[in-house]
Amino acid sequence: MKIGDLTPEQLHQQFGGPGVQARIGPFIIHLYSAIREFVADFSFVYADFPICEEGEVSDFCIRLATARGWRSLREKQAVFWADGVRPFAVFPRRLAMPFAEWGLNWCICSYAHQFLMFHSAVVEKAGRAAILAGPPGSGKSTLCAALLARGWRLLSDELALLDPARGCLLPIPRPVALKGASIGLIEELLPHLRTGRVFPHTEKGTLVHLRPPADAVQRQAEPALPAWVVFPAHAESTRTELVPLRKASGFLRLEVNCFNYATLGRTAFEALGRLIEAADCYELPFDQLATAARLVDGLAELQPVLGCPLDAA
Amino acid sequence: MGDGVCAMRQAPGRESVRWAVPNANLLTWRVWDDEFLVYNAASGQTHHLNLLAGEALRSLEVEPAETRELVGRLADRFEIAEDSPPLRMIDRLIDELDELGLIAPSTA
Repeated sequence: MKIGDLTPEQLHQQFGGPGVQARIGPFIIHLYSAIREFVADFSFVYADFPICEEGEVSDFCIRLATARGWRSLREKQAVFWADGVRPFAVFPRRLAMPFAEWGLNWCICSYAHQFLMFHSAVVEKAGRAAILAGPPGSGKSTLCAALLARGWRLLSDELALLDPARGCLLPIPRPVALKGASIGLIEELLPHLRTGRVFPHTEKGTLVHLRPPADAVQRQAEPALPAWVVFPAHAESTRTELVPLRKASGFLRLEVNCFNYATLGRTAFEALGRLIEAADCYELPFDQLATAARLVDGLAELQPVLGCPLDAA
Repeated sequence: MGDGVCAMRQAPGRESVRWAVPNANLLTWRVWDDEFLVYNAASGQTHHLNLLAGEALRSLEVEPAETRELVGRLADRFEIAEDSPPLRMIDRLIDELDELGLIAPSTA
């Protein structure tokens, strides 16, 4: 059963009562909330994610609750709990959905050290994955969405999960967070995908969540091998081109984007070294999104199709 | 590692120091063409070394050496003269590797 199979009333009863255990990538999230507006937002963008059987052990237990206190006199406030820890101060209840997403990022980055984690989008074609790494504002989410429009599969918009032992990237195809000017652009590129409610005035400006493609969610247990590491850098009046990077430079630039390199130490060095050994690295300055997507798409055309698909995780 | 010619400044007795990679470092290597990445488990740091620095460190990891002996090894390795410009920078290179904690005077 999927989250989207439940009626609004069933969703409210489940989330507000025993909670809902959903499988999101390699994690099981047990989520509780009696905030109706949040339950509606979450259920819409996570509609295709499967609900787990009873008795499965969750990785993270998350609760979003209405907060009490003087701040609520002016505007209703909410609080995010994860396994008894409150990583954020209270926040406006109308922003519960963005905070739930940021909170889930916090949970994964704080605890999921079985993976080497990068701040990057990941897309896959024919079993080979492209890691799009860069700081906020570099255009990686926009480029990621443009590649989805060209038939690439979404593995992740925000967080690459590398299995250090197997060297493969595990999907976690959560909603794509679109911000500012990219919202209209991506809605135009991917008219068949639906977006959730618009959240104005967040810490990151106006924000919308793009519901992940159903195919990406159905295939969320299928890992992919890294084949390319691309560092997009959007800038006006820049020539759009793929510039090959030397391996050592690719390593050091990707290391900067790791959340837990220091925590994993030598395991991280070795895993990242194997990834870079197997992948070609490029810088991608661009001002033309369509050209940038075509150039990355062209990389997949040059690579032989992987003959032996990886086992499911 | 930095470039530039190093003045041949040497503390008294420095020539007789045997340089070694401390056992605690447990270096892990990744080499691509003429670029070396080395992970030092003792510091948790990753270093990006050029060809000369990488080969010097690898040589000292295999066996400690005094400066003059290391110059001889590198001259053989690269088939260049011991007084060629890159090897005239050896003192500076050793200082930098020492400051990074990658090598230390051998106590053995």
